[in-house]
Order: sequence, then structure tokens, then C-alpha cells
Amino acid sequence: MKKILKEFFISTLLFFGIFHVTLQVDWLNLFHLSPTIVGDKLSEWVWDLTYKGLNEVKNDNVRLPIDTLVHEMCTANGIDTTSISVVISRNPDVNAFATVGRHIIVNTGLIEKMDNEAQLCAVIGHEMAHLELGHIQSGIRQQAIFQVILILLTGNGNIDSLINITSQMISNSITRAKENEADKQGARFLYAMHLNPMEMANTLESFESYGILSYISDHADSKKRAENIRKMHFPHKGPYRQILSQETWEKLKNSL
Amino acid sequence: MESCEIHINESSLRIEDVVPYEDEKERASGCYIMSLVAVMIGLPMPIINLVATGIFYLMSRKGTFFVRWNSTQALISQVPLFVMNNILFWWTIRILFCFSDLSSTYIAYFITVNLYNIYDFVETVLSAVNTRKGKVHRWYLYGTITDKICKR
Ligand SMILES: [Zn+2]
Repeated sequence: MKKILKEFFISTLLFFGIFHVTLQVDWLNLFHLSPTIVGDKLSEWVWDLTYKGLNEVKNDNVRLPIDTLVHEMCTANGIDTTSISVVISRNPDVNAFATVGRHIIVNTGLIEKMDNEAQLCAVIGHEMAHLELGHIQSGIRQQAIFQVILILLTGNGNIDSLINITSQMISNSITRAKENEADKQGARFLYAMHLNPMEMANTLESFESYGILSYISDHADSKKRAENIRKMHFPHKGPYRQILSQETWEKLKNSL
Repeated sequence: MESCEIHINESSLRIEDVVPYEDEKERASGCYIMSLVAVMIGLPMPIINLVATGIFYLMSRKGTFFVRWNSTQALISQVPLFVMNNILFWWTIRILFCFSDLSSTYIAYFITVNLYNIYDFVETVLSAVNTRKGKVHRWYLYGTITDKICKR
């Protein structure tokens, strides 16, 4: 028995000794790995598949003005413009959502419903707020995994339903409190770029009046949310500027 | 058969003193090969390892001293391996499914467990070869524990 104990002790010591030695090395640095590498790679893969399945609008009449708006919003709010990409998808659904890898997808169906650039900025600002406030970061990796499993099960076939499920899962993972936060942050984004922050409230209300549910499926009480925005206090009430010329805006709407 | 009977009655019998028959060598050697197969299949799915370990136990209950001793040693060597590989397996699953982040600690554990797996692999192959020749290959610690468990 004594011999067993002695040998057991030496074996255990040896095991933990080796483990201890290997622990001294900063392996992640050595191999240039990031702790979130698995999630990042999967997110990248999911995004590639999503992007391939999209019908991206490449018309410069649409892309350039939206890039301008996004750039204005980012610089006014100290966000790295290169870190965010906004993709316009030719899709009649009134929908916009932030997804893996700091991408925001805006459907043409949604842009058609927007009265002015400030409302469009309100939608983009809301989604950007989700990204900036880290609402999507926490849940997104698990979502990516579920998607990967889904892709494996369906055999890559149905990208459209994949995108639907993505946006659905992401909006489901965002709580109502976070939606309110994103609304408010989005309004602040608008204000910082000298646009009327109350357009955020108008946008939310207009969704209700359209009876549009796809974008506001998680926005069950958009009236209440609009009220929350109206209660916000901003020091200066205008004058607000216009970023795009009327002509550019008209061209954008006509090119969809 | 007769010499075996005599040995069995000696309480101070050491495994090294046993002169095994040809079929005993084959069966004892087979235990190590089984354990190798179990580890290989069990690497991606440790539950298979557990099932194989159970079969090992049943095999070790019947059979002569030589077979029993070697299958017990093969079984005991599986236990720490099973625990370590299981932890590694579930840790890996957690990382792959993004429930936890990749860390240097994980890589350190991965390397340590793999070193142990290599050690176990080499020892098992040596045991299989030596047992087939009728020699006893005694592992550090596991051989001692087997002596304690396998009497007569
Ligand atoms: Zn939202």
C-alpha cells in the first residue's frame, strides 16, 4: 500500500508538474490566436454564406449616399467607419438588422418606406447602437453556431430562410430593455450628426401606422418606444441640417 | 495445467513467475490491443471508452491469473486516461460551441493530456508486444496497483 501511495504521489506530481510547466507559456500569443477565434471564424463563415445569399444593391446612386450617411454618423459619434459595413439588400421585406461581424443589412423595402434621410439614419442608428452597446456581441456567437448546424442539416440549400432565421434569432435574443437603449442611443447618434433626434420617434410610429411587423416584430409596442424618445431632452432644438441634397435623395429612392 | 494449479495455491506468487500458455499470451495481449482500439475510437467520443472499459472488466473476471493480471493492468491504465480525455473532450466542445473562449490554459491542458496519451500509447504497444512473447510489461504505479488487486 505504501508503495502504491508513493508511486501515486510521484505520478500525480509528474502530471501536475508538466501541466504547470506548459501553463507558463502564453500559447495564444505564441500561435497568434485570439480567445474568440472559433466564434470569429464561424461568424466569418456565416457572414460569407449570408452575403452570397443576398441580392446586394450595387448601384452607386444607392450605395454612395448611404455610405455618406453612415460615414457621417460614425465620425460624429467616434465610431471607426471601417469597422462597420452596411449592405443594401434587394428585398421587399421592411427590415433591417445587425448581424455577425459588425455588418448591418438594410432591405430596399425599408428604404422605400422612409420619408427622409433622417429616418433612414434612425434605422441605421438603431442597429448601430445594438452593435456599439454590445447587444449582439454576447449572443451572436451561439447564434452563429446554431446557424452552422442549420446549414449542415439543410445542406447549404436555403440561404433565404437562413437569413430570416438569423434576423429572427438575433431580435429574439435582444430584450425589450435593450431595444429601448438602442432607440435612445440611436437618437443620440442622430443628434450628434445634427439631424433631428425626434425622427427616431417618427420612424417608430410610422412603422406602427404601416402595420409593418417584420422590422418591429420585437417592437411590439413601438408607440411606447416612440414616447420614450419624445421624453428625451436635447439641449438644442434645431436648426437641423440636411446631409444629402434633395436630388441625391430622390435618385436614391428612384434607383431602388 | 498442472503447474498452473500449483502456482495458484502460492499466495506469494509474483506475476513475473508465471509461465503462460500460448493462448493465455494471445488473450492477454489482446486486452492491450482492445484498449488501444478503445482509446482511438474513444478519442472523439469518450462514452465509447467507458463502454469498452466495462467490457474489459467483464473479461478480466474470467480467465487465468496471467490473463486477469494483464487485463486488469490494461483496465487500470484506462481510468486516468478516461477522466483526462473526458475533461478535454467537453472542454473542446465548449470552445467549439463558443460557450467558453480559447485560452492558454486549455492549450496547456491539451498538450499535457496529449503527452500522457502518447505515453499511454507507447506503454500499451510495449505491453501488447511483450505479453505476446510471454513477458510481463510492468507499468509504473498501475503494475503495483494490479498486484494489489490481482491475487492468487
Ligand atoms: Zn433592435
